[in-house]
Amino acid sequence: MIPPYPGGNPDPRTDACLPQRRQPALPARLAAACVLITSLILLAIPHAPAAEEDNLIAALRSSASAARQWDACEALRRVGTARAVPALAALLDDERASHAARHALEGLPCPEAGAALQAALNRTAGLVKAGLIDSLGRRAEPAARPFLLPLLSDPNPTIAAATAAALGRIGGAEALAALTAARGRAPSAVQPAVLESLLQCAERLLQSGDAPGAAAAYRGLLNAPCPAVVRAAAWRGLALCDAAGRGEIVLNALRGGDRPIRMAAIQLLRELDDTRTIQACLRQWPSLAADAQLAVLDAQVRLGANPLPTVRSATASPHPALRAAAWRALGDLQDPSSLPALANAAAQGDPLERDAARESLARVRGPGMRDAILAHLGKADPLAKAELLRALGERGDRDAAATLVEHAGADAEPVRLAALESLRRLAVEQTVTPLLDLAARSASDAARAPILKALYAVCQGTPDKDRTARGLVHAMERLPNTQRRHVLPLLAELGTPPALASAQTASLDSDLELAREAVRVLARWPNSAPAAHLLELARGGADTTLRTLALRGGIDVAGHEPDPARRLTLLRQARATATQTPEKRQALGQLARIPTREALDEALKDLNDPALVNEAALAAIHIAESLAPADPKFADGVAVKVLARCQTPDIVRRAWALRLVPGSGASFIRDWQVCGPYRQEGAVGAQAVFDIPFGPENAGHPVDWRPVPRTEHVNLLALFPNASNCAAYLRAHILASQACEGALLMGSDDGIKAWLNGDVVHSHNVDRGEVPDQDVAPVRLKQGANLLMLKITQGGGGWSASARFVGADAKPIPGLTIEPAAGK
Amino acid sequence: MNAPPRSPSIPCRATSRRAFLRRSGLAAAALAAPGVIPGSVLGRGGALPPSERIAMGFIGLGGQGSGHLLGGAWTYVPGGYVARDDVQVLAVCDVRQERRESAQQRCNRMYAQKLGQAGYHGVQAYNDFRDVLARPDIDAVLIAVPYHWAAPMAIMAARAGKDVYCEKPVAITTRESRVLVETCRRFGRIYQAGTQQRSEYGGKFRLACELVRNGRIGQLKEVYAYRQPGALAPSAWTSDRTVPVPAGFDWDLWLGPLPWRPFGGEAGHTLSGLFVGDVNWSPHHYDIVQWTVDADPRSPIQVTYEGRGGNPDHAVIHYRYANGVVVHSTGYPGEPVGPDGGACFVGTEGRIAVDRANLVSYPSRILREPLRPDDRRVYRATSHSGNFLECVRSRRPTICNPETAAYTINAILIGGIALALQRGLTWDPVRGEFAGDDTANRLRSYAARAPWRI
Repeated sequence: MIPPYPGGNPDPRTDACLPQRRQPALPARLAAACVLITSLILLAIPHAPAAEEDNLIAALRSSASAARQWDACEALRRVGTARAVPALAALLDDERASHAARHALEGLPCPEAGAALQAALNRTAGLVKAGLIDSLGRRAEPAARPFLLPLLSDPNPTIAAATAAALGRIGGAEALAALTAARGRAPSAVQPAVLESLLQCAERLLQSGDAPGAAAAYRGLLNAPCPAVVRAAAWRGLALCDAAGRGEIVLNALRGGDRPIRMAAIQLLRELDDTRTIQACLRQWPSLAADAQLAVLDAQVRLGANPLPTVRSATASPHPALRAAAWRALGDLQDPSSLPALANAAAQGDPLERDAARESLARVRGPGMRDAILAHLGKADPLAKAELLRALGERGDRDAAATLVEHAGADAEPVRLAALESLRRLAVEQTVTPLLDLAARSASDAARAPILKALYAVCQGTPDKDRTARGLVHAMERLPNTQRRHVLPLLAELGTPPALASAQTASLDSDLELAREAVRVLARWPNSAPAAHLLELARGGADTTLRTLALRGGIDVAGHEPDPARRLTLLRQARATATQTPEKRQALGQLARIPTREALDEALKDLNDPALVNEAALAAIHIAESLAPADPKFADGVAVKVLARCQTPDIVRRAWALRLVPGSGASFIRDWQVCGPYRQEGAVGAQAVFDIPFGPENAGHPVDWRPVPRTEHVNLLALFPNASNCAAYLRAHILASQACEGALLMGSDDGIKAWLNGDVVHSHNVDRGEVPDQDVAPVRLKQGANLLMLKITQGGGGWSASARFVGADAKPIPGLTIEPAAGK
Repeated sequence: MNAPPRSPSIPCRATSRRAFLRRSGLAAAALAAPGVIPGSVLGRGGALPPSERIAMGFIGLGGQGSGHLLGGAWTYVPGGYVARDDVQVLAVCDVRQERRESAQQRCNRMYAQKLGQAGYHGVQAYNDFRDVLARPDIDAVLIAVPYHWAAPMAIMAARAGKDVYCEKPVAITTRESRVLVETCRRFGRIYQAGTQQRSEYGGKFRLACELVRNGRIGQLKEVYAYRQPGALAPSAWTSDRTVPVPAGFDWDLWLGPLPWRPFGGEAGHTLSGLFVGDVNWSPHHYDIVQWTVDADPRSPIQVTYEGRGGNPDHAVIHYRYANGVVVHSTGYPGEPVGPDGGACFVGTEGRIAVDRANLVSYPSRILREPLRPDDRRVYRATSHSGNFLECVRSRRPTICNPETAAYTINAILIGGIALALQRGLTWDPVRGEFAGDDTANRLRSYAARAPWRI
């Protein structure tokens, strides 16, 4: 049954004037529904609009339910004509149907619709009447004005306010006069609508070219005891009306003590493209407060009205925000003479000024600007010089690379670091040799680091890596071994054949430190090219450390080999060479990434080695997971082998997942009890509530467990509508006829934690949708009663869970019964 | 308990904020700590009148609203607005009692700790947002409410003299967006739409926009928006399904201007059957798209409908802007960057794809070359909420001001109307109507339930 309409006016007259709707007899209602359904079906297929409209009209006259009436009215809003107006008008008196009918009538572009709304005014009251008035206002037909004017003084403030708003939209001299008369006289609840409508009327006058008329209306509001927001709006309108006197109006406001109007003046300055007003304010610049100066400055820069003198003056303001605005403005003005000041502000200003000045140095443009920067470099103090060098990089000035290199070896650290940072940003290929020289001369790792960063950037960004590599190799050959060692990593960044050859040669050098560093570099190679060389070194190198490094590096780069067969060959070689457990484990890790049976066989060989069982099992499971879609039986066999040897929970869980075939015959648990929802203030999102131990997790805490209607899939959202940022618990008793191993399969929306007989057997903190069996936990059920409890978290949206047990063979466990845990 | 119906009005008494605070028992609490003047505002130097904190009310305390208020990973304000030194939260408001009381308690506790005042109770909780708007001591409101309430509340807030930060979708009809612009302009209000990608995410979207606008991919030809637009196009305005209204939930006020219906168990972002397409995520996409396309916002937009199998959910909308750029509602084939709030811009010499996590270019050198001094820049903000608060103080337009917000949502709504009608349209933004298209024009608005009106 539909509850009474609660938005109704408490005025008893409203109810008295409404007709009592009778419930039609069942056949009549069926007939009405048939008519409506037919009409809506007809709407969906192309046919003559008139027929469509007729069907909808018939539906309206059929005493259909409110929802169906709305459907028909919505359809008529889209396709209706004057022919539909009588049927719609007949609904205007009914409290709920009236809204639907006027929704249609409001949108019909024919005068009959407006006339119907007007005619219904006399038959209605309260909110129904207010709605009609609003619709008439929305249609904005002058013909409605005479019907509305008397209602401006209606004793019901809702009706009077709706009328004022409607008159504001319709406008006209009569409306303006009536609204003006109502200003100050109307009840306080009606005043806001009256005042806004007066503003609307004034706007319309201004738009139509009647500036004096508009100004009079605005002035009336400004001088009346109105709320501040209305006075400010009236002041704004008045300023817009008077282009000639606007400068004075704005200035007076800026210098006056009326804060809302002062703020309106500041905002107007920021919005208007009015040079004259700005000039008027500039003439009084010293007398303005800083916030007004800021607005004037911004406006002047925006308008490009010779702002340089003002900007320069503002750079000396006592107010940081104004100075910052001035520094920022200089970025838009083509003034080379401002560079020294900008550089100093960037070097010495507070963070607000510094950021503004830096931003301007990076983007200031115009003829001679670059030359001015370079020229000032020679005169600036170190901090300002650093800012100029930084700016060259940010400006993308690649032609300044030589200048930057020149300063990259400066004694002053800020200068040196700024130059190197810009060189890193620009990444100019020609800087390789001088930067290498600098790196070679560096006294410490800390001093070398920014140089190497710049060199890396060149190597990463070069469009011709081969050419850059040749240049780099050539330059490196001139360096002594102690210095060459530091720049060898650049070769791996380039990764080209000349770079490889150079690194491999270095790995054979009699200087053991250099050789070891070269091996480390080869181990980071971006492809598998050095793999064979490294494995050879691993087998035959003279130094134990170098052999170990080479073996580990060989295994790593073998992983880059795209051909699985060749990758397997390399890893077999590595495995044969490895004598220590860490390298064997490393090789197994790489094997896991080869999704072939051959790789799997290789991994399974180590399953019996206690030191390698976990890595071997993990590799086997990983490969089996890749093969499972094509051959689930094979994957199942691998899982059996792994489960026989490995007890690591994560691996066992994944093995179990492979054992299970979709559609396992085991039943879902259907007899649950539930408690919750539990929340904690400040915990927002499913993942935030996951680890909060609510009632059932605390021993002895009283918990109100309630039965859940029997279901395989518990829809918690249906149990706890609109719940969010919370958790609920489910529990059930599982009676096992004998102790057995098995797995608990779970699905949840969102996260899930599971306890079996008080022990946590599964924990997955996640925000997700539910898929049955998406989580698996290996479990051991004891003979007799076992208590299962699930915690299901909820962020928002869906909230549900399901669970079931299967045996070690992935089939239903014989003799297992489930019952709700009530009373136990 | 439902709120009694009354006129959606603001109080007429010309009461100043200071006067109210003097009278109010809240004065001591609200002014307990000295006014903090942020670095971006005038005030340091000592000669200027002291600034005050911006006094705010938070309307709508679901995930989005409470995230803004109290902090959340996606809200970009560490600790939320309540943790900011330049904001004083005075009011929290929600039609769900549990939400508003929880937020109130948390805010009061935080202020008690921060100000060293045990028993601080300066944050008031409200069921009815009109009570928040009626407080003269509140400067600004943050609105994060169901779709159908965003524009009406923002408009009423502007009428009441409040500056507004409003979560998307900022309007559900083009009439609403038009009235929003007119009202903010009329009353000189600062307004920020919650399409925060222009400011956040490390400036990725701004950089993409500036690179495209400066011709780094040549002439921009096409844009892939990765999202369908959407619009209010009810297939079911009301329903007779009835379930008990949860305790402490004001269903009638939640429903507001929508046609009345009994509570049917559904009261999230919106109600089923009201919208076609997507109005929730698409504002993020189309805001960035239109920012970058940089067409004259006064020029017409042609919308074409490409049906794919008769189901509008699978249809593709194409927009042709006056500068010749065509925007598609689909993703760029094979490009993984873009679905997360982004777009892919295709020019004559390359393309750029951007989303919240990634910015990529083809060729890659486009991104390696920094912007140069002569390149055109766009409005720069590095904090969306920070930009709003700064503009409240300086009265500068925000980065997503009402005009921008309306331009974005209108693009979505006209595309959605094309989806609803399953045909093409031409939108005239100056007149705010579809050119010579009576049927489409009827879908630009709906009649609000009295006493609500915009």
